[in-house]
Formats: sequence, C-alpha cells, structure tokens
Amino acid sequence: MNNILVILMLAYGDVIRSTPVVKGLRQQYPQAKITFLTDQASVPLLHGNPHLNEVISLPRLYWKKTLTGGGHLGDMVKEIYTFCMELKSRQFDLVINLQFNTLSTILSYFSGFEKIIGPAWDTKGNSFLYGNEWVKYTWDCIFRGKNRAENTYNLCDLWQKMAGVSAEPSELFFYISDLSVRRIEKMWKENQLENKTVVTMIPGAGWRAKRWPEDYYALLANRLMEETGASIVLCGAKEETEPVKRVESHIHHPVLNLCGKTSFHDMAAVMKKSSKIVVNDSMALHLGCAVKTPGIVFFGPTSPKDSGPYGFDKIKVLQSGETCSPCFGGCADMPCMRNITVDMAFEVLNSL
Amino acid sequence: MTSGEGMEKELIRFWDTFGEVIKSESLTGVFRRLHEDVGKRTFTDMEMVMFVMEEIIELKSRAENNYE
Repeated sequence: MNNILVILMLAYGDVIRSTPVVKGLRQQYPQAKITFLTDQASVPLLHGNPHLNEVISLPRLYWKKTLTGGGHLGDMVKEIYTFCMELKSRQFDLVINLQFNTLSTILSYFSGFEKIIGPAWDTKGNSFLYGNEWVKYTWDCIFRGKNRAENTYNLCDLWQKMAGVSAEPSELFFYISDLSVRRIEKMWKENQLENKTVVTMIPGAGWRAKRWPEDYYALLANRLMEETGASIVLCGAKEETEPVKRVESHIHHPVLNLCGKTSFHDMAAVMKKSSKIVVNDSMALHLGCAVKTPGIVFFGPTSPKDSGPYGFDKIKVLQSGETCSPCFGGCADMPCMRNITVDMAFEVLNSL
Repeated sequence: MTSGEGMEKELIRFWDTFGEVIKSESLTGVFRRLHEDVGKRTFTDMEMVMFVMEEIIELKSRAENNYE
C-alpha cells in the first residue's frame, strides 16, 4: 500500500483517539503516503503528527453557512464538486473510514479507493460495510449500541483491529505547538504557578449527563486548596464558559479561569504543565492521556471500557457503581454521577 | 477532457434534469427525487455531490444508515 487515506471528521476526542491507528498504519507501511481527511475544525488536533504526510481539511461549517445563508448555489456546487473530484483523482490504494456517519460514507465513494475498510457508498447509493469482522462489530456495538455495555474493547483498539494494524506502543498522540508552550509558560509565571501543585479542572463534556455536578467540582477545588495548598486552573471550550463560571463562583479562593480562552494546543499545554487533572468523559480525557498528566475522570452514563483512558494508566476512572450505568443516555437525577462523592475524588486524586 | 470541462458538462446535464425541480421545489425537491432512485440506478458524480451537499446542510430526508 503506497497511498492511504484515513477518514474521520469529528468528534474532537475521537480524532485524538484515532492517532494509534495512524501510528499502526505508519509502522506497517513505513513508505506509504498517509493522508487524513477531517473536518476543518479538527485539523489543529493533527498538527505535527509525525505519522501523517498530509491532512485534508473539509470546510463543512463554511459550506453549511454559505449554503444556508443565501450564498450562490452554483458557486457552492462547483466548489463541493471540485473538492470531491480532487479527492477522487488521488486514487487511494487503501481507504480506512473510521466514521460511520453518512457524510464520511459518501466521501468514501469519492476517495477513488482500490480497497476500503469501513462503510462506503456504491454507485447506486447503497451503503456497505467493507473489511473484516471488526468493522461490523464496531458498527453494531459502538455506533448502533447493540450490547455496548458488554463490550470490553476500547474504540482505539477496535479501530486498529478494523485496519488490521497494531501500534507499538499503542498510545494517544498530541503535538503541542511551540507557541502554545511559550504562551502557557508565560501565563504560569504571571500567575505565580511555577513550582506549585496545580490541578486543572475541565468540568465540561459533550452532553450534560456526562458532567460531574458543578457544585462537586467547586467543593473538590475548595478542599484541594484548603487541605493540600494546591492551585486550581479551570479550563474548557468557549461554549462551556457559563457552567465553568458557575463552578468558579462557588470556589472560595482565587483560581485561574482560562475557559473559552485556550486553543486545543493551549489546553494541551495547560494540562502538560499541570500536576494533575480532573475531567469528565470528553476530549479533555483523551488530551490528558496524550500529554500524560495523571488525574481522575468521572464515568456515569458511558462506559470506560470503550471510551476510557487509553495508553496511560495514571488517569484513574471513578464510577458510582449504579446498576443502571452505563445507559449511554442520561436521566434527570443522574445518580451515576451524583453518587461519585467529593470524598472519593479527593482521596483518589491525592493518592496519585 | 479537463476536470473543468467535465464539471461543466455534468452541471449542464444536472441542470437539464433538476433545474425545474430546483426552481419549483428548491434543493429539498432534488434531494427527495434522488433518494427515490437510491439502489435503482447508477448516480453521476454530480448527483453524488448533491448527497454530500444534503449532509452538509444536514437535511435528513432519509433514514439513518443501515449497512448491508
């Protein structure tokens, strides 16, 4: 195989989790050109990956805004057609479609593949799964949720099994830009965080049910500051600014709140500089594994077996042991999250 | 034939087929008609591009994937 394409648009955490399969491909095909097709928003997550030759950016949000915002239809058709035909002209030997959604499946059709692993459309618009039995297993179990609670494979391993590769060592990768390293080092100095025990908390997650309660985060921060002298940094995406502000408002001491102010690379640099991290099942967990900072992660409605820490064993999983967990959904009471106590979190974090 | 010429020909053929539908029913009508033909005939590249566009706009005129 000389010309390989990997397709995965989103989510951000999943793009980080795809790095072992990319590494496995590189180890198996050292001379191949390996290209990654992803959503424009995910491109920074792949910057500096030594196993990739090229990242193709799909400007999905720009196209969507233009198409739905009254942009010239003919121009957009031409632009998207040109993008697809350019993809088709590359004539990939092997395409590995890690994403089982319709957009990536149609784009697989345009990859001009000789061999494909994962879902793809044929010329009549039928969608098929190609490859080994792990493709069907991953689709059924992870993406359709069939017997997902019984699954014992991490998605990072399933993707490698799909692709028929095995990275050695199998761990997540994230390259932190020099600019972000310098920016965060400067911030650490300005806030007198050098030589201190810094615990970074990232209270956000893709959906509400995956979030440990905001008041628990604040209680944990208060205990860490008062009983261990730790400094607290809060971090998160722009859309998590309000919930993180609420957490901050219940903390009795000054903290450094960087929520909404950091790029992916800044956030990774913050985590790398920190002594410990406290996160939910989210992109932050996978970023933490990639930069190898110890910490704790809360799992309630989701399963740590398929989306837990990977390739780094110093991020400890905390669960409440509710019999309804994992439900892969959520409920109003969220006992699976509420019954993970602040005491539990404090003890495990201090034991690291 | 250059890719530019190919696109022009495909655009003309597409417009001949779906131009009236776009005028009267907008893009949604085109997507609906294309979906009626799924599994029945071979689509052109331009028609495949329309499926991509549908996903970009996130108009869900079709059931979720059911891979065979």
